[in-house]
Amino acid sequence: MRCSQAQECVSARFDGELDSRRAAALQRHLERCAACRRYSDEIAAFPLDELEHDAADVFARADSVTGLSRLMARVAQAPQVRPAVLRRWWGPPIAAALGAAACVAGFVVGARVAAPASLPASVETVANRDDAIELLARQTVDLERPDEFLLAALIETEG
Amino acid sequence: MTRSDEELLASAGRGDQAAFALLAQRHYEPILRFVRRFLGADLAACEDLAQETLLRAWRYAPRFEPRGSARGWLFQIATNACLNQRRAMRLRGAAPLDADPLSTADAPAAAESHERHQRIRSAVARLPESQRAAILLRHFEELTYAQIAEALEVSPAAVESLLHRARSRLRELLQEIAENPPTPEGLGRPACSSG
Repeated sequence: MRCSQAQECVSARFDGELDSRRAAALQRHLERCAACRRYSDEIAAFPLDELEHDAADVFARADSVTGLSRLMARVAQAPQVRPAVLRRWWGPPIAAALGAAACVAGFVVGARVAAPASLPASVETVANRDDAIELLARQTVDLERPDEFLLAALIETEG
Repeated sequence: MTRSDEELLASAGRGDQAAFALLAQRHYEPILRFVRRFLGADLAACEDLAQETLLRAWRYAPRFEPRGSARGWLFQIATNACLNQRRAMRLRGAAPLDADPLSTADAPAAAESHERHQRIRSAVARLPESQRAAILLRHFEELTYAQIAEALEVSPAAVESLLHRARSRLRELLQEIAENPPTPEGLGRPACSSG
């Protein structure tokens, strides 16, 4: 442990916020470092405590009762903001779900744009092989977009 | 059974003025103390700021997240109010509020201890803002590192570092002041940096 780290730990120990692992490391450092021991002593004897004693004098003139009644009169008139719609801990899952939904929607829309939504009006769809042969005979099918029945009929016809 | 600050604040968030009154009663004086020590302004101005802090707490109570500490949240509002106040004063080019009115106007005119208190206050007033806030919240209001972290919107590790730097700087300032006692008009003039 370096002296700068040790002195930060001294400050945290003074506040009762040092965990046992760091406290042990600090203790080992203090045993061999006179400068940090001196720092520790000075922190322990810090004079800020003295200011607490005159706090009563300093605030003697504060009229809390009047202050609070003024405050509550204003509170009665003050509207509150609306609660946050997304709490911080709900936010990430909801954002992830919305993101996933947006991806799916994008994929679906993209696929529809890439492929025509329906066959042109001049093209009839076929439900079976016989219809396909009949359509072929009437030459109303779009030969660039044969479905499987039509394809089979074409093969059969060519065959 | 005594209701916790968090329970009171949650009720206040649902519009319960009685719960908020109880919460305000608990925290009005600590907030006033903090504001006054942070700004050093005259009592009336600090009372206004403490009331503004609590009024803001009432308005934003519906957005308080119950997993946090109500005390840390209230002091976060108070700290921001103090920083805004100082910024506004600087922008207006007005004299800083914190020209140590505590030392001369309010404290009992007395001897050696009074001078000593003045020196300590002067040293605290010269700390950078975030260090000053951290030391006041820890030392006088006894907030935990987690609560100070919430109040200052930093991590608990940053609080540890801030308090260490504040104490080291206070040590130096107190030595400087002891060697070169400030003139009355220079007392309490704070540092303007925010680190």
